[in-house]
Order: sequence, then structure tokens, then C-alpha cells
Amino acid sequence: MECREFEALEPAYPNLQSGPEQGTELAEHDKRRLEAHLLECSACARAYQMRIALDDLLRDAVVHREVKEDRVIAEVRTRIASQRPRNMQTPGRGRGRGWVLAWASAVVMGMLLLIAGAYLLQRPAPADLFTDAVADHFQEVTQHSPVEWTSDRVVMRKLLQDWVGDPAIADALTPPGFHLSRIRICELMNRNYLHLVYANGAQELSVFLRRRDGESFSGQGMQALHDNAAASAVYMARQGQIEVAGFQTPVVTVLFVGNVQKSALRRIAIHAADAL
Amino acid sequence: MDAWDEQRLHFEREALPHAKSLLRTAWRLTQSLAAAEDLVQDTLLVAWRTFERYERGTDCKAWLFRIMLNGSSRRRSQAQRQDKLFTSLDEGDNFAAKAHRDGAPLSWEVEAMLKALPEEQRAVLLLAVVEGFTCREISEITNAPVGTVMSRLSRARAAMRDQLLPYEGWFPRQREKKAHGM
Repeated sequence: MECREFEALEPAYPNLQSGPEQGTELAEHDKRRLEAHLLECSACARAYQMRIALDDLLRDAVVHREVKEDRVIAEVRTRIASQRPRNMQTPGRGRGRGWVLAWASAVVMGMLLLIAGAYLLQRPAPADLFTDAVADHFQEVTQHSPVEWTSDRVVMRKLLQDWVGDPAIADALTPPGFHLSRIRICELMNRNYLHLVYANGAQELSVFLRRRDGESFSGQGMQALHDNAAASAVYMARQGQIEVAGFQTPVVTVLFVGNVQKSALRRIAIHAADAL
Repeated sequence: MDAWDEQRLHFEREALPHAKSLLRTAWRLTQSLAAAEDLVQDTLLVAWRTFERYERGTDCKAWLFRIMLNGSSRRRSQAQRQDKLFTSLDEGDNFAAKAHRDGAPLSWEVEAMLKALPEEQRAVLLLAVVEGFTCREISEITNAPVGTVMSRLSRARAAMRDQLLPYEGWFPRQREKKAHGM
């Protein structure tokens, strides 16, 4: 077998080690030829190993940022239940049973929605929340992806008023030497946040802000600091080159994200926590 | 229990367990969790309305993905608008070169690389690697010839490999090579 033929056939082979029962699409004859080629061609063997490693990396990344389907399923169940045709209910006893079933379904549906709601509210998401915030900062601020922002002062004040009840919070959060540059609404861990960007001409810092609503900080990779005067503990974590600092007051949840020294972000977060 | 209830129970058992798979793929395709939830909800409701056409014992997951990708392409104009809002990398922008150069990439960095792929390559890669569909199944799901699917898969993997070049730690043999001064 030539390397070119190997390269053409190889994508149809999910994993040579997994055997034909794991979705292999090639004929047994082709599989044997591919395996034989792997034994005699070190370049193709390395490319194949690299492909397996790449697949593992991708799979891990996607699974790492897992999604919760409960909300969709609950909505689909509700919509299906509402579509139940009336003529499916039979008269007399059957009709009575239909009503009982409908009520039972409604009660079960309500309980499921309550459980799902309680789960979403109580679900601790800190480590993933920090990761999500870093990803948003990297894509939207560092990489300048073309997302919609507003820099209009009036609109920004309106957004702050609507989302956290007090536009002055943005002033209290302003790092020394920075100014508020722009705002957009984003989503972190299934919850909406205001994404504020502060700039000082040389650097840009992200602040993710929302009215506190059940989310909490705890988990792996975070370090709590208690040396600020404010009651709010500041939590810090690092993702690659990017630092994250977060704290919560009784009213708001705040995350600072930036490609800055840990000590600098720590000072900024403590300053903001004290100011609030 | 009447025919409607039986159908609903069958749908609960066969279709709803695939909601998570649908949602994680939809999220990577639409780049927005809210849009992904809408797409999956629409997919499941279309599946429910046409469930009598689903042949019991066949692959329900593949059937649902086919519905979802059809729905996704119907929303292409909307998706193109969202691309303007949500896609992150310009063509030719070497994401990894700007990221840290030591060790393996972090999960969100891999996600960003995935996001930079053209949509049809991203879809094929997700279906093959994450959802475990074979090229033949993907061909049926996406209505594309098997050869096209294999070619998209190869190009997607090659693009991912290119973006991973600056990360010396992602592939163990690169680390070994470095350790031996090669």
C-alpha cells in the first residue's frame, strides 16, 4: 500500500486498536492492508498516532465544557403535553381517566421543572465559571472577535441600571487608571452576565457582572484571599496566561479577567471589593 | 393508556436521551447556547411530529442529527448573521501562536481552534470524534457523499494539527523528541 492510499482510507477507520466491532467501515481486507502499512511506514504510523491523540484532545475539550439539557427537555415535554389532541380522550370512564392523567402529568411536569430550577440555581459552577469567563475574555477582548458592544454612555448606564440596579457600580469597579470602554451582554455557564471592558490605553480588562442569584464560588484551581478589608473574599485562578479574580457581595457577582500580573489583578479586585 | 401516550413514552425512551448529544453539537455549530437550545428544542419537536415515520430499531440518534442539521441549514441566513456576532478568529489568524507555547492547550483553547474551522468541517469532526458516527452514517446525516465526508474530516484534522503546532506538549512524542534534544 502506498502512503497516499493510506491517507485516503485512514479517516474511515475510527481506531485500528478498537477492532471491527467499533464502527470500522472498511472491509477486513483493507483493514489488514492498513495495519500492515502502519508496521512498515514510520511516518504514517506517527501521523496515525497523532490523529488518535488529536481526537482524544478534542473529545476531552468538548466533554470538559459539558452542557445541561434539562431545560430543553422540560420545555419539549411541556410543548408535547400541550399538543395532546382532545379527540384522543374517550367518553365516560376513559375521559375521567384522561383528566386524571392530565393532572398527574401536570403535577409531574411541575415537579420536574421545580427540580430542574432548583438544580440550576444551586449548581456550583466556580471552576467552570472561571474557565468560561477566560474563554469569553480571550475571544471577545484579546482576539477582538466581531461581537456587538455598546460604548454609548446612556445605553451603558441603562444596561447597568436594568441588570444590577445601580449604574454607579461600574464606577466602583473601575481599576485605577482605567476607564469603562464598552459593554455587552454575554452568557457564562447558562447565566447572563454584563461583560464590561475597562481600558487604559495599553491594556484591557474584562469584568463580568451580574446581580447575585444563587451562583457561588468554590472548587478546584481557585485560591481564596482574605487580606482585604471588605467582607467579600476574593478568589483567584489562572488559565494559561490569563488571571481571574472573583468576589461576591450580597448584591452582585463580579469577575475580573485579564492578561496581567496576578499581584496587579489581586490589587484591582481587592480595591473593587472594598469599594462595594 | 391510549395510542398517543404510547407514542409519547416511546419518544421519551428513544429520542429524549439524545438531547445532550444534540445540544453539545448544536452549541459548537451555532456558537451560542441560547441558539443551540432553540435548535435542539425545534429538532425534538419536529422529531415528535414526525415520529410515526421513525422506524423502530433503527438508529434514532442518527435520525435526530439528520433533522437537526437540516434545520441548521435552513437557519443558515440566521447563522451567518450570528457568525458576525460570535465567530472569533479571522482567516489566517494563528490562534495558537498567540497563546502560551508550553504544554498542552487548555480545553477552551481547543474549543477556540474548533470554532475557527468552517462549519461543515466542524460538523463532520464533531459527529465523527465526539459523537462516534462512522463516515457512512455522517454521509447519511449530512446528505453528502462518503468521499466528501472523509475529505472534510481530513481537512478538519489537518487544520487542527496546524493550530496545535506551537504547543509542544500536546503530542507526547513531541515532548519526547524535545527531551532527547532532537
